[in-house]
Amino acid sequence: MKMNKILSMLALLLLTTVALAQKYTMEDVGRYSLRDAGTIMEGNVIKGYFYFYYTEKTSRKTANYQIVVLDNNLKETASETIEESRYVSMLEASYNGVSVLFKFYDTKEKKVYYRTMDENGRISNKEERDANKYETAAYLQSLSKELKNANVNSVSKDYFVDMYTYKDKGYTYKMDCIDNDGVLAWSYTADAAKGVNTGGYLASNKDRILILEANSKSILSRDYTFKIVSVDMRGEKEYEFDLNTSKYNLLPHNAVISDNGETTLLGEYYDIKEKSMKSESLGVFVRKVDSNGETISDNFISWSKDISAKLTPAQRKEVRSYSIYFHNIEITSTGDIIAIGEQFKKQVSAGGTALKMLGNMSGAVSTSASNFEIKIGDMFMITLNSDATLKNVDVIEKLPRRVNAGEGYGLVSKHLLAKLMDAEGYFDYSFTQTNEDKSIVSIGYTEKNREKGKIFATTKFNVITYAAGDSEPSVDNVEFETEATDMRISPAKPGYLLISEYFKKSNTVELRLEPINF
Amino acid sequence: MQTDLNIKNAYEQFLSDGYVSSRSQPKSEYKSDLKSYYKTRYASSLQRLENDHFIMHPSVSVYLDQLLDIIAQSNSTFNFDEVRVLLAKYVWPNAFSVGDGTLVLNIGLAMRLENEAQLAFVLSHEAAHYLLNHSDEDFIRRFYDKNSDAFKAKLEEINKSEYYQVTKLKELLKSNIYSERSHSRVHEFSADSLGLVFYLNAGYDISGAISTLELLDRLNEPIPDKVNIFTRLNIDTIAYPKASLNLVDLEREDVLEMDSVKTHPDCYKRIVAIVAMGSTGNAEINYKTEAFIDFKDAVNSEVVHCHLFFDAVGDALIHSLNQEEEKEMTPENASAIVISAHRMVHARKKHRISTVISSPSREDTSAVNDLARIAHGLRFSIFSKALYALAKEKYASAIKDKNTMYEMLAFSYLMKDKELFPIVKASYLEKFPNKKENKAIMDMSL
Repeated sequence: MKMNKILSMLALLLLTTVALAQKYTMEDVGRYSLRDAGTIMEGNVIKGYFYFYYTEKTSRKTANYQIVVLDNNLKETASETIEESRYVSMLEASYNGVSVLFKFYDTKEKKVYYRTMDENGRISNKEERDANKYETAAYLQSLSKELKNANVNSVSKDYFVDMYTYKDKGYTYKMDCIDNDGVLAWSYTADAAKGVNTGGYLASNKDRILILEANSKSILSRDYTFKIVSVDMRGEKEYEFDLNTSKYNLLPHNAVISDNGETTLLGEYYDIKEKSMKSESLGVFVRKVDSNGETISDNFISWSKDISAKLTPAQRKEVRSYSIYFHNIEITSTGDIIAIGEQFKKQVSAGGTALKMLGNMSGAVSTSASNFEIKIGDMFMITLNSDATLKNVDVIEKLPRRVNAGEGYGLVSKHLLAKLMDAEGYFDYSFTQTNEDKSIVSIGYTEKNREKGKIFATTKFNVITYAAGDSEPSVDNVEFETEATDMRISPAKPGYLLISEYFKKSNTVELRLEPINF
Repeated sequence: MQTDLNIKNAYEQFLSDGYVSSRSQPKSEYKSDLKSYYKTRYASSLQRLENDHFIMHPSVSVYLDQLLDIIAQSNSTFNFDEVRVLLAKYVWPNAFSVGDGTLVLNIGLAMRLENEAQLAFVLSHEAAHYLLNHSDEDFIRRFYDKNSDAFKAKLEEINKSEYYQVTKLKELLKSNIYSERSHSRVHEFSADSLGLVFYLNAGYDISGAISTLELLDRLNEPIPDKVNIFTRLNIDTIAYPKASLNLVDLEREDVLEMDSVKTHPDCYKRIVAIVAMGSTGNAEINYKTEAFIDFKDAVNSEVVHCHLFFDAVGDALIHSLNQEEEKEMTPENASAIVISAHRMVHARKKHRISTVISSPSREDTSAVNDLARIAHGLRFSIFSKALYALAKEKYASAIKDKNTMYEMLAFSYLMKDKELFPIVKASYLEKFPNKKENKAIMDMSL
């Protein structure tokens, strides 16, 4: 290292990080990538933020890294140094009310590490395992594309689970449970039936973890069957049930487990005679299930009759042409169920088709332009009464947006397409937040607008808030002038937004919490 | 207060003369570095002056100059010719010597001083810093530390090491900061020592010096409030208890604030050192002179303007309401309430409230902290209505200057007040009929 570089490092060390609750300034930001930063979640609630960055080489193979943890008031609660491989990145972090679990990936050794940090900032020894080739591909893609990882979840005050693809005799998935000391408590391997068996975390409480399983004959098959599997806190399968009735196939988008152990599943239903991943859904279903997996009730709310009746003629026409993807559901303090959805549709892209034709005519082997594009429409919120009957439908208009779909997007079903779009961050929906008693539910989303004559689109951020006692939701437009080079709005503690402003000139990032207005 | 241009011009000339003469300093190994240091210092002083950071008005300047004169004449062995004192608009309680002869007394400290003796001790202490050349000494020491052979050797050693470079640099830096802080503490004791001589020679009693240090020791304790902001804003504390407002109190944790490494020694240690120097003076003198009382009145009437000058709208609003509880609501304070209330609601609407009002902290008064809780935590519709009601109430008695009227106009527009908005708009346009300037206002309608 040259002397002038070390002097500049000395000068930078003179600068301190300024920490005030509700505001936090990080200086010397140019030295590390903000890729290794993220939120610490406890269920759906943000409990803090983590920043992970390289500081110095400590041997030929190892380096020191700094983990900085801020609580949800932006107060620094820990700043610890750990020594790790020089090829390590942090994938995600989760909080269970007692400890924070960090998941790392070593790109050279192809290993996954878990470490926990307790409330005193003490970091556990690492639990490590080899990453399989399916994981490796996913992690490399998420690191290169800065995609969000959502495989780790806190499932009680004692445990976290991490789910990943696994292949033994067939394709299936594994769920590892890590305790507060960062030690593997148990590992659950799903049945490797014929074909492909994938699993996704749906919900949990202190007794069980619910997984949505999708089975298909092969990777290329578009014909899936779904079921719910419940795994207890010892890693044993409790029960499973299929997702159908005598008339319908059910595809849950989300679930929530109440304190009494009752599970509410919400999603779309299809004619049982149709293959669900290909056909149009008939409406929205709500299934209530008891703690033994037995169905308590099924409610079906149809697009054609129930939902249409709550819409204006113009909205009715619009709704018919779109599909809805439900990002989240919340049960409010009054027992109402709010399903937070967004319209989307796959359509032929005029520009993409023209480019493709031009490419073919010129003899090019292929072009990355796709014939398909995805059109993203309005926010679509359905409120149900506590008995799962339809209460209201709110269509919150936003400017429609077209996204050029990648090659291959045209082949997948709408439901898989929605999942892919969600993973790649194509939707405008950003987050849902509630306060502790769930009397206030806020939904954040972006709205891109390309003004006439301007090349770049401007992005607005809006928050829809449902407050108990209010007759209708309110929308807060988060627009303000800033001199920052870059500005991001992210979810924060209930009732607040985190505004991050990056100032290139001073190499600083200013974080501040601002209340949502409603 | 309007800036007195004669005072401003005289100070500008003083800075310029001082800078020119500093360039003809005696030859030393640090000459070129000191030159650059003086240049930066001169530029900073000019910037403070141009940015209107000082209260330059005979009602405060004459008295401060007279007091400094008394100290200077009683200590004629020292040359006070190049010493000036200014009252700054800074609301945090502090005083400092710039190093070019300027002694700065912050309004935040001036408002807390109880008598002339305390003011004389503060000025004596800061003058001692200047006359002992502490500013130059600090610069030279820091310059030497950075360029010493020992420091360079340590840096070279770190430079050559392949591993743990940052850890080693941090250790080196820590030891440097500790050493610098230790020198600062020595300077404070010596400024206390010489300052006490100046002060006693000027005829003040040692008890005034001790009471000043006792006062400084209490500076972190907030002044008790007269106003209960929840009650004043008619906020239903059953529906919105403080605890529901979702804010934590600020706790500052800084290793450099530990007693062993602070720039200033603890006040009780300074009191012990002063007492050990012996006692002279006349304890019978009444230091609450008429001139001091007039000075304090002038200071107190300026505090709210200083809060607004630095956009500390929360402090301005609480200060004005405290004044109302204590004495009466002056038109200046009523104006400050209108301006502050609108700026807070506007900032909240524009998602910038955290840049205008800090979170609750131990250093702030309970009313300022409660206002912070309300501004950050209360539902916008309730917060804006409460502040608007207060602004409307105070607007009647406020000064109808351009600024106040414009803020009320914008506030009534934001709140969609179909009754008040047209009235304020009409009276504003009548009083300030500049068509070009008012185009945006004329376009506003509900």
